[in-house]
Amino acid sequence: MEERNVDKIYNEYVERIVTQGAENETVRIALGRAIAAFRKNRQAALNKYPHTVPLATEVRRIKEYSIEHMHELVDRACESIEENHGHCYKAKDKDEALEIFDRIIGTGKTIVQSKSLTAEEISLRHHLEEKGNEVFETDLGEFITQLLGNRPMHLLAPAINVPREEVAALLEKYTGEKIDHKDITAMVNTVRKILRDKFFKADFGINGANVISADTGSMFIIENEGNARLVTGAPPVEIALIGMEKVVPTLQDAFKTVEVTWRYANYKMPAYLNIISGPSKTGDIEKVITYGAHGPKELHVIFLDNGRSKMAKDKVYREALYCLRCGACLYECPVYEITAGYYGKKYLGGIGTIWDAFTTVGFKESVPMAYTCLRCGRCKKTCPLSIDTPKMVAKLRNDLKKMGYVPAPVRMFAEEILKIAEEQK
Amino acid sequence: MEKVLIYGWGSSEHLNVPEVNEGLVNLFKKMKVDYVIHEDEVTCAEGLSGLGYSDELNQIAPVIIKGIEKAVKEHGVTIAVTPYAASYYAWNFTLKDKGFELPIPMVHIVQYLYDNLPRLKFKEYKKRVLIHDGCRLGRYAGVVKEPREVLKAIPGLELVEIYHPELEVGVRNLKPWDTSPCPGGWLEIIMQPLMKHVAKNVIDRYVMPQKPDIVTSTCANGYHAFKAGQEFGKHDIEVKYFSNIVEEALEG
Repeated sequence: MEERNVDKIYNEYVERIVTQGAENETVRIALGRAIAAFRKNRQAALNKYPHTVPLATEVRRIKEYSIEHMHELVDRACESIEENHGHCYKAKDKDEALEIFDRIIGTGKTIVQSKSLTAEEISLRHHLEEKGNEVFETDLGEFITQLLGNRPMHLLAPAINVPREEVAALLEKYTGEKIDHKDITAMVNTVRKILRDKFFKADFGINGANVISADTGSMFIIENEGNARLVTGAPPVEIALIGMEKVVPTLQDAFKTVEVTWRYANYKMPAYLNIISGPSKTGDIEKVITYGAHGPKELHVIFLDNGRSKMAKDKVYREALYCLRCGACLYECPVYEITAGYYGKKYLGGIGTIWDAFTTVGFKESVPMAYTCLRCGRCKKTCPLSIDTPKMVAKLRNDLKKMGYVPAPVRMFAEEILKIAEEQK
Repeated sequence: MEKVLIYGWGSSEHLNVPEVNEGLVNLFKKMKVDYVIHEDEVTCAEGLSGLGYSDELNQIAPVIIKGIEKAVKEHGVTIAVTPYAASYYAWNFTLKDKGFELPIPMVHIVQYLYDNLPRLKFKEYKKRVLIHDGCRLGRYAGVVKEPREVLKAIPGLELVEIYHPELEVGVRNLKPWDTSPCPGGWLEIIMQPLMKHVAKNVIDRYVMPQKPDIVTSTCANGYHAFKAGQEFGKHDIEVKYFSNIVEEALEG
């Protein structure tokens, strides 16, 4: 019974990844363009700032220490946030996190959100919409994805599978205005116009973070568009949802981590690096500290566990928590290169399989992704922290096997080998 | 006197690439090397560990060892030679680390040819050949000098590498085998319908821009994927397994 279920999961996934991914010429065209540009940019960024390479080795050590002391550092970060006049929460799982959001937001509100994989992990936008709120994704790629009714297809470039022609058609439908299908600038201007007033009308801004320092409670958000700056600056209340693995001991560690992140994510320097440690405040009148000067009056920070503690306890899987989400491994994966986000569920690619197994869909549903990875090791070579994804995937396959979750083609192949071996005994 | 045990015969039959076996036989004949085909092979067994069956591989490793011991006793073989990166890697690294030892060394065909390079007499072979390193052999085990030296020894053969922009980042010190893409040979077993698409894309994006006459892989599993990708993509290029090129270029 169990095995039939796994086979059904596997077969549906294979059908989807082949027909919607591999056989989709549009995906290939869009990814081809994006990957070529990414590699060229990353080459230029690393050549201009070669110190990033040894710095990445240092960041690996920072992350190793941070994951080892994750709970202690989150506690320290919470103390710092409260000291800065923010509110700090710890959510054990998705339900607890959503409950906290409900308590803060309620219903009938307007919300702007900047790109966050952690929010995607708990399906935050859909939940808030179901509760009667209006939510706008503000990252351009996420906005396109929202309009398409789709899900993100890359960590940094959610609409990577959508070529310009399709974006133009989509925006034409949304605005009712004619847009040149080749003119990317016109498309960007259109989205700017659509979203501009939303930032200032919104009741809440929701953001994630690339890293947060425990000693000062400062979250770092790397971005280029300026939407995160508006999301975290314009609405009266800011809510940050942060995975526990994002915490590092000090402000200095955080600076090192973000520099390695953006450089390996193909940027010489991002347009913006936002550092937020508390709600907006002023002491300009008689040195009396008053909150909510120009930015948000309230800051709420929610740390999400949702399987991270379990991952951290395992010597092999814990490496997945070191991930900086630079997205480079995806661009180097020969399978992702032709299938985009169809290789994954909430998280993507080989490392995403580990994340999905622990934080979103569970082990059984992660079976087909576990058996998509080639274990070729190219991702490890390209990862700034040399995360050993093939080793994690091999362990996951062994663990899945112990749970009885092996898809039919693999099961049959193995049984054939074991039969030959038995005959030869 | 050295006597070779050809290891991986059944895998090539399973993957429907009998030309790999034929090439090895012709190669050893031309080299005047005594050889035996390993008949007691547990076909593709080494792949089990990566598929979630590590415990089972540990259990059948003694059966494989016993089969090779029998070949040593009956045929006097002194060395096992395989065209498969996974077999080479398993017996020289993963299984070895667990204490499993074969009675004779297992080498990859590229190593065997490199070690015998002074004996090889080549005729002219005027082809531009792009080399692909099997992932376990190149990226994991670092067997990269051997195949290149062998191909370079063939007169007229022009050797080209797979390009990646990051090879030009000096401080990263990456080499072609670090960044070479896998054409997806394992997909034959784990997700068969995807393999030809992955391999076709690798040929489109990484092989064709280098304008070779032939693409070759140091792993027979990689070769089998390239072959499927070439057929599917109808690329105007030849796909040959490494030792088949060497065999064609050998005098005799």
